[in-house]
Amino acid sequence: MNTTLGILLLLSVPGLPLLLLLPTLRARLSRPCHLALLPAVILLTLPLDYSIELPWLLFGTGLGIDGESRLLIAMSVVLWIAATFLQAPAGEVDGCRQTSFFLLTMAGNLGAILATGMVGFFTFSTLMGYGFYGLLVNGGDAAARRTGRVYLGFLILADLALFEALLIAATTSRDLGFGVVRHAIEQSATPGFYLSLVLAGLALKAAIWPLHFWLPLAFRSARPAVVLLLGGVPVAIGLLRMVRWLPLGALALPGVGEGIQWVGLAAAIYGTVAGLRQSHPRALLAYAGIVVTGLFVATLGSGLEWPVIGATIKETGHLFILYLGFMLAALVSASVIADKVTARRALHSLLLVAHVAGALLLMLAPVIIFFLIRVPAGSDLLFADSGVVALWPWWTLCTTLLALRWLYLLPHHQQEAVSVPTPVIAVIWGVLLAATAAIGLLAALWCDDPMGVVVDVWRPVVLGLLIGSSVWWMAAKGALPVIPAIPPGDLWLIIARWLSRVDHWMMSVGHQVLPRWRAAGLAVAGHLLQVCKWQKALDAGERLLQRWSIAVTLLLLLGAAIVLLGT
Amino acid sequence: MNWDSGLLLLILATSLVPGLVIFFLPEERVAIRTTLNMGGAVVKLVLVGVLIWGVLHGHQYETRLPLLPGGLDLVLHADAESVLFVTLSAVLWLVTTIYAIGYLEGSQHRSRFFGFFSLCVTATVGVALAGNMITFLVFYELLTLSTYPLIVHRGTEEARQAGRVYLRYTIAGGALLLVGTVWLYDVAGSFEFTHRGVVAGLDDADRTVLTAIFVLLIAGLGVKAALVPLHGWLPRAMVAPAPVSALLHAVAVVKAGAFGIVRVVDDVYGVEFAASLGVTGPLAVLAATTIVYGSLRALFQDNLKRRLAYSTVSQVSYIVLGVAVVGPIATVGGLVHLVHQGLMKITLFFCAGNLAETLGVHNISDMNGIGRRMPWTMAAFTIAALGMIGVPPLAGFVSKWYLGLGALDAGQDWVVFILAGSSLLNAGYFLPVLYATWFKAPPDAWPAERSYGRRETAWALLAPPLVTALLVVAAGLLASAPFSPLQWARFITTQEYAP
Repeated sequence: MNTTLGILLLLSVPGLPLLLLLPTLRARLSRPCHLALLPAVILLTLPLDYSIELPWLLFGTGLGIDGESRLLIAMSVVLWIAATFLQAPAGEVDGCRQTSFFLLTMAGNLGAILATGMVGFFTFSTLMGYGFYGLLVNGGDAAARRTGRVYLGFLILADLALFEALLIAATTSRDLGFGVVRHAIEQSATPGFYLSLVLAGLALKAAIWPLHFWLPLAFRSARPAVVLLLGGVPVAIGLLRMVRWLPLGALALPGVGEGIQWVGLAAAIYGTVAGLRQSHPRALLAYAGIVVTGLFVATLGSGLEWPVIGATIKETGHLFILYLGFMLAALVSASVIADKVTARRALHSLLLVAHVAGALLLMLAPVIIFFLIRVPAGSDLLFADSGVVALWPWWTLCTTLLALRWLYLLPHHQQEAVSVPTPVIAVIWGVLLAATAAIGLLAALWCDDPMGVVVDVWRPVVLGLLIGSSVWWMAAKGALPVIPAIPPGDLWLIIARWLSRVDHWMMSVGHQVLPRWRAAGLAVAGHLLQVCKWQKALDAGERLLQRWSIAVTLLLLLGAAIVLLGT
Repeated sequence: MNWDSGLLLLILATSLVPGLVIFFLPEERVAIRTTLNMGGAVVKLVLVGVLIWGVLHGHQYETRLPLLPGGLDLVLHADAESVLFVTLSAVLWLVTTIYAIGYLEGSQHRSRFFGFFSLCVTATVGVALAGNMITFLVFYELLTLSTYPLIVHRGTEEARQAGRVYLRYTIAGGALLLVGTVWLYDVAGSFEFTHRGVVAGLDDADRTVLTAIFVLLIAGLGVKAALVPLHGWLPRAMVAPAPVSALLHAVAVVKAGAFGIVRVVDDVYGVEFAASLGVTGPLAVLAATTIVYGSLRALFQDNLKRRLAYSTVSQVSYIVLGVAVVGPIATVGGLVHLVHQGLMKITLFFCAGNLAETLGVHNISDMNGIGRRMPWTMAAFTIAALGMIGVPPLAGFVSKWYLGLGALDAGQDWVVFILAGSSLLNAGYFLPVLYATWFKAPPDAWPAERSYGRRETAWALLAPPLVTALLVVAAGLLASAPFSPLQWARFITTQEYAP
C-alpha cells in the first residue's frame, strides 16, 4: 500500500471520530457515528497487514493492522453499528452530547486496537475510558450517576497504576513496544511490585474479580446501547491489554501464575453465586461475564506458570475476546427484543429458539477457551497437571446454571422502552448471535480434538441442567426457600456504606478533638476562634500563613535548620 | 552596537515603549491604544522568532550596559533556557493582550492598566534574558512594582488589601534575594550565569556560607514561585481582573520565581555542586510539600479563581521539583512543565474570566449545566483541566511522564508517589467541576447574564482560550515533533549536562 495512503487510512480510523467531535462538522450529517466507522470498514476490506511509525506523535508511537487486530476491529465495527442503532437520546442536547461521547469512546476503542506500542495503547484506552464514563452518566438517573462515580474512581486508579508501571518499564528500556514488559520484569529491581501494578491496573479496567464492582452496576443502570458495548469495549480492551502486556510464553512466573489461577477460580465461584441471586437478566449477564473472564484470567495464570500454554494464549487469546464481546452483546440485545415481541404470539416459538441459542453460547463459553489452548505436539504438559485450570470442565457447571437462570428471568422482568423498530433489533440480534457462533466454530476448527473437549464437559453440563431444572420446578411449585437477592454492585455497596461511616467519624473527630488542640496551641496567640471542621481548621492555618512575617520567618527558620544540619 | 547585541534591547523595547506611550493616552483613544498593544505584541513575537533562529544557529546574543562602578553590568544574554521563557512570555502576552482588550472593553482606567501591563511583560522578558543575578534582581523588582497596580486596578478595598499583602510578600522576598545576591558576589566575586554554575568552582568556599546563600536566594525567589509557606499572597491576588490573574499565574510572576530557582540551581550553583552541597534534597521536599498542600487547599475552594490559584501553587512546584531531582530527565520534565503549565493555566483563567464576564458566575456551585450555555469556553476548560490531571495525550501527561521517569532514573522513587497523589488530588478538584458543567441541569437564570447575540461571548474573550487549549493539545500530541517545548527542553538539558 502506498505509504501516504496507509498513513492517512490508519490515522483516520481513530482520527475521523475525533474530528467529528466538533458539532459544527457533524451538524449536517445524518448518521455521524456510522460515517466515523468508514475508515475502519475500508481498512477491513484491505487484505494487507500494514503498520506505520509516527515518531512525532506523543513520545513516538505507531499504528498497525494485522490478522488479530483486523478481527478485533471487525467486532468493534459491528458492535458500534449495533449500539448506534439502539441509541435513543431523550432530547436534542442530550443527543448531541451522547453522540460526542459515542465518538470519543469509539476513537479510543479503535485506536487502542491499532496501537503498536504501550504508550499509544495507554493513551487511546484512557480516552476510551473517559468517553465511556460520559456514556454511562449522560442523561441517566441517580443509579447511572452512582455507576459513573464508581467507574470513574476505578478508571483513575487503574490509569495511575498503569502509568506507574509504564514508568518502571521505561526505565529499563527506552523502547516501549509490547515486549518491554518482559524486559522490565527481568531488569527491574522490584519485579513483584511492577507486576502487581500491571495486574491491578488491568483488573480495574477489565472488571476482573475482585475489582469488578462497576460492571454489574453498569449492566443494570446504563442504557441498552451502552450495555451492548460493555463486553466489547472496556472489558475486551482490558483483556486485550492483559494478553499484550503480560509476558506470556516468554517468562515462567510460577508463583504469580498460580495465584492468578486461584483468583480466576474464586471469580467463577463468586460470579456464579452472585449471578444466581440476581433478579434482572442484564445484571445476571454482568456476573456471567465475571465468571467467563475469571476463567480467561485463570487461563492467563496457567500461561504465566507454563510458557508453552502462554505462547498459545498469546496467539489465540483474541479469539476468545471476540467471542466474549459478541456473546454479551447478543444476550443484551436478546433482553431488549424480548419485551417488544411478547405481544406477537406467532413469534414466540422463534423467540424461544433464539433465546435457547443464546443460552447455549453462554453455557459453552468455557469450551471455547479450551478449543483455543492447544498444547504443541510432543509437549509433556497435560491438562490434568496444569493447576487450577485442570478443573476447567466444571466451569461449564457455573455457566450452565447462569444460562438457565437467564432463560428464567427473561420473560419476567420490566423492560426499558427502546424506540427502535423491532426488525432492526432482530437483525442486530441475529448478526450478533451468528458472529458469536462463527467465532465458536472457528475456535473449534482451531482445536485438534474438539470432540474430546466437548466430551469432557458433558457431566458438568448435565449436572447443571439437572440442578437448574430442579430449582426451576421447585420455584414454579412455590417450594423454593426465599434467599435474599444480591443487588448489582454487591460488595461495593457494603464498602460504600462503611466509607461513609469512616467519613462521618473523621468529621466528628474534627468536631471534637481538633478544636481542643488548636485552642491549646493557638490560645497563646490569643486570636483564633473555635472552628468545627477540618476545612475551617485548614482555613485558619492558611490565614496565619498569609501574614507575611510569619511565613517568611517560618521559611528562614527552616532554612537555618537546613544550614545547621548541613554542617 | 550591532544587531546581535541590539536585538535583546529591541525585544524589551517592543513592550516598554508602547507601555510608556499608553500611559499618556487619553481613555477615549481606543484605536491607538489597541494598535500599540497589538503592534508591540506582534513585533515582539517576530523578534523572538528571529532570536530562536539565531540561537539554533549558534549566534551569540549579549548586551552589556554599565550599571555600577566596579564592573557591575546589566547583562542581557540569550541562551536556550532564556529563549524558552521569552517565547512563552511573548506568545502568551499576545493572546492575553487580545483577551484583555475584550475583557476591559468599556472599563475605566484602561490606559493605566495597559501601561502597567506592558511594563509587566517588559520586566518578565528582562527576567528571562538576564545574564547575571544583578540584572535578574533588577527586573525581578521591576516586576513587583509593575504588577502591584494591576492587582489593585479595581480600586476596591479588597483589591487594595490584596495589593498590600502582595507588596509585603514580594518586597520581603526581594530583600532576601538582594541579601543573597550581595553575599554571593562577596563570596564568588561574580554574578554571572555560567554553565555548571559560578559557585561550583569555589573549592575553598565555606559550605555553610554557600548553603545559607542558597537558602536566601530560594526564599527570595520562592515568594513569587508561591512555595509553601510563602504562597499566601497568591489566592488573595485573585481579586484582580481575569487578564491579570492569567498573566500572574501563567506567564509573569510565578514563572519568574520558578525560572529564577532554575537559574540558581543550574547556572549559579550548578546541578551537581548543588547536589553535593545537600540543598537539592530539602528543595525537593519543599516542592513536594507545596504540591500536596496546594492541591489539598484547592479541594475546599468554591470560588473558581481561588481553586485555580491553589492549583497554581501546586503546579508551579512541579518545575522546582524537576530541577531539585537532580538528573537530566527530571530537568526536562521541570522545564517543559514551565511551558505546559503556562498554557493550561492561562486557558483555565481565560475561561474563568469568560464565565464571570458573560454570566456573572464566580463560584463552582453556580456552574451547573454551564456547558450548555457556553460550550466552547467549557470545552477549552475541559481540555486544560484534563491536561492538569495528566490525561494523555495532553501537555500535562508529557510533563508528568518526564518528571516521573526522571525521578526513577535518579533513584528518587518517592517522587513518583507524590506525582500519583497529586494527580489524584487534581482529579478530585477538577472532575467535579467538569461533571457539574456538562451533566447537571442549568439554573433557570444566570446571576448576571450579558447577551452577545448568537455567540456565547465576545470573540476577543472566546478566541484566546480556544487557541491556548489547542496549544495544550498540540504540545502533548506533537511532543516529539521538532520545535515542540519538549524538544527545546531536551536541547537545554543536553547542554546543561554536557561534559
